[in-house]
Amino acid sequence: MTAITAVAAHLPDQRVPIEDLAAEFGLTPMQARVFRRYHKLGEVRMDPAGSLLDLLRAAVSGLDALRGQEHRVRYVIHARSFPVVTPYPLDPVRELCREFGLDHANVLAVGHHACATGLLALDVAGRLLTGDELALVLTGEKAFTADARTVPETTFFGEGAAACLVSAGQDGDRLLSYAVEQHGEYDEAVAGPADALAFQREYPDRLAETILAAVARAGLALAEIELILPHNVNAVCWQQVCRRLGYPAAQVVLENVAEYGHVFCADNLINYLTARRRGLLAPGTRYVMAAAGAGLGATYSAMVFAHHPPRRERP
Amino acid sequence: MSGPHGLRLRRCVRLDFGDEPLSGTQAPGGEGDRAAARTLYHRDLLRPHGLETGLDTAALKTPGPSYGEMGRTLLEAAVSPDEPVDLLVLAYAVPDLEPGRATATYLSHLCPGRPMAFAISDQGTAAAFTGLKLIGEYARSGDTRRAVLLILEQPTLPYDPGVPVTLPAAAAGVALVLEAPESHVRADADADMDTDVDAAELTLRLTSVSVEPGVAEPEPPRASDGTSVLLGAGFTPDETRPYTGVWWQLLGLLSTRDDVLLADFEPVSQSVCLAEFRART
Repeated sequence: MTAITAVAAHLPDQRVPIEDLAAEFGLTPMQARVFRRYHKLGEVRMDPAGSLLDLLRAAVSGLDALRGQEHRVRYVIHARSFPVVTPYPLDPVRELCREFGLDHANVLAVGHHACATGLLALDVAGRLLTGDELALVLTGEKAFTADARTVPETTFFGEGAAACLVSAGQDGDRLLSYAVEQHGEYDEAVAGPADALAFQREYPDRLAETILAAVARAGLALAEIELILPHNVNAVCWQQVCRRLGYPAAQVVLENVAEYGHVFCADNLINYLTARRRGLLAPGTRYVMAAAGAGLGATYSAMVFAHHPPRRERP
Repeated sequence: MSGPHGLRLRRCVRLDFGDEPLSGTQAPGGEGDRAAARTLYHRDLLRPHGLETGLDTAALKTPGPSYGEMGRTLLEAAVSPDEPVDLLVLAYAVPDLEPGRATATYLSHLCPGRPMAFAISDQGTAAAFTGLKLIGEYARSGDTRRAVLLILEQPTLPYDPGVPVTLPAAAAGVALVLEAPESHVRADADADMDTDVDAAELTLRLTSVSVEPGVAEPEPPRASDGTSVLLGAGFTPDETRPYTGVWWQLLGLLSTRDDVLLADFEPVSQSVCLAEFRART
């Protein structure tokens, strides 16, 4: 049984309004207004002077549950939206491990699910673990190039990071199911303009279908899902998904879309913390984490969890 | 790390790729656009590290085969259309020259069965062993009956990283097709396979996989009666195929009746990597 036992996140202090980003990418004021009013994107966070290591370090520093448990961490897994984020063979994650006493762990990256890779990493982590071992899953990237700053007409990326401890036991939020649907035909080496339109048209349907597949695999009905923790691509996308599902948009944690933008693979975990802070997760609450990764091929992913506060958090 | 649920290594294919891009995957926008995109991505990648002056733009204009092209060719050679695959794992160390591409997702739609596909990297030679371990775990849970492990390497790093780096001499790849014991495989499943590749049918059963980091002075395992040992570049320098070499050798041992132990050493994490296959009786 894969379980999330602790989560922490870091968002840099610097706020960049999306109007500034729109101007930088040559968008008109009208296009910027569409982003703000309809997509509900307001600003993103940036750390221009900071590195990827700085982002990840800040997230792991907030992971109090890691203290004293370092010896149990068998794997450190970086989940990335973009396959290459530092010059090879530089490895900031390995450096992070040295700083936090995790030299003994297996360090690796998983990828090629674009912004759905965070969910992939949770699944991979759980499968690799045995006994009381832990995995540290890291998400978050630098918005270092145009492709990593915006998806035209869709979203703006913000910098940030999240760290998550995963166990193979019963302690923490239990992973009940995982569904993935991939569409490599949208890879830009083979796709043309018509495919791009088809992808845009299909996106809400495919994401909704993937959520339903995960819910069914968990042996549940959608009505038993009390919350969806989305990726923060934009609000319109999720309104469309909710219409397809017949699911109340009010039960999708979307407030961070406006504040942080799309923080690569970290959105689901950032929204998990928001849900905890707002008291939306009670013991036994069943919820979905869902994400779509697009651009060079498309991946739709959804996970169903049952919330169980770790033992140390229980009264 | 053990217990890969008795996976059988059904087929092994290995291919050397030349320096020229393979045909069949021209981007609709044209190669000029792709080269410009590659250059921009790499320039932005290097700038924060003060490495952009070492960017080799010529290498990005005429790259060799991408991992997508290599993977496609290997899949065509390794997987018959009537053998649906449930899981595809792509393992590599040296990054692809298409740095933003979700290659595993691309390969998923080319592979019979449209499997779940993902990549493992940033683990040097250990990535392939972790991939094998994961395939075993997916099989153990019943989520995978047939899986493909692609291990790829390519020789071009279009910049000077400022630190020592090990690169292969040429682009090369190995594909392993693994099946859970309960898989139903047609007796003539290979009737339609392309025979113009270096490939073999196998009768080996995967019994254990492990990646143990932090071993400062590793001893390479030795062959014993009934067990052949294949050593990777971490134990015996292989400048030609530092990341695929140990898997490349596997194909050469298939005529034996011995058990096979693949062993490699990943120097950065000081990891001893082992994969043990037993000859099926």
